[in-house]
Amino acid sequence: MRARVLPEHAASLLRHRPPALVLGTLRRFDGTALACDSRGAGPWAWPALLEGTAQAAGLLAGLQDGGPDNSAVIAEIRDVLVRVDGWAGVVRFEAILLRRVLGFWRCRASARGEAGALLLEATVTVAAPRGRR
Amino acid sequence: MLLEPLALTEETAVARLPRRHAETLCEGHFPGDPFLPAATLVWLMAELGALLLGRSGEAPAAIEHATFRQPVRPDEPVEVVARRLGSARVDAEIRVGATRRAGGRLRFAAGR
Repeated sequence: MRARVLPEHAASLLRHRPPALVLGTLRRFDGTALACDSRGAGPWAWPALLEGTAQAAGLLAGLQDGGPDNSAVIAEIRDVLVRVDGWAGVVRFEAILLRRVLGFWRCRASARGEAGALLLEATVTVAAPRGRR
Repeated sequence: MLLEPLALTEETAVARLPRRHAETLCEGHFPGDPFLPAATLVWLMAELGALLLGRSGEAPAAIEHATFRQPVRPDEPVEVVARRLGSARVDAEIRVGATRRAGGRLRFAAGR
């Protein structure tokens, strides 16, 4: 993995814009994992928590060498555990790269509350756009 | 619920997503290239699944799997179909015309 200077805000790497943009400040990236705070303090219904995990996975895939650009799409979501109906407060989204197969990047991602409480977790497969897989 | 139910039996539910709601759900996703977010498609499947199971408004406990084959645009006629799998699980799909664009299996909390 090449060293790279990362921007502070996820918005500069994603093409999501408010209100669809869930991710805010990028807190950590170590090559195969990242952590990112939510954009604001919600409140977040569970679909927004799921969307945040998808954005975290997309961001992590895009930061890989040879990763997709910001036109990547979500191909699959599986093994989702929804532990809360919703949440008020800043959410920490984390993603870990599990594997890459051709033009697909599979990540395990989670949403946690400020005290580290697990709110939602999911396995998200990010795909390069059709024609670039 | 954003969906408008079209049919509801013991085993199956069908609903449509009004275009005005589809456009709202695409705001920011993405400017100039709008389509419904994958998480939103899961939410729509969960909404209808909960209705089918008599648990309207309840969040699913788990999404076992959901796949997304093609983008769903806000100007397309979006239908959601849910089929009961026992007391707490449903299979659901997002259809545009005869084409299945997304589908998944969702599980609600047991014991109800």
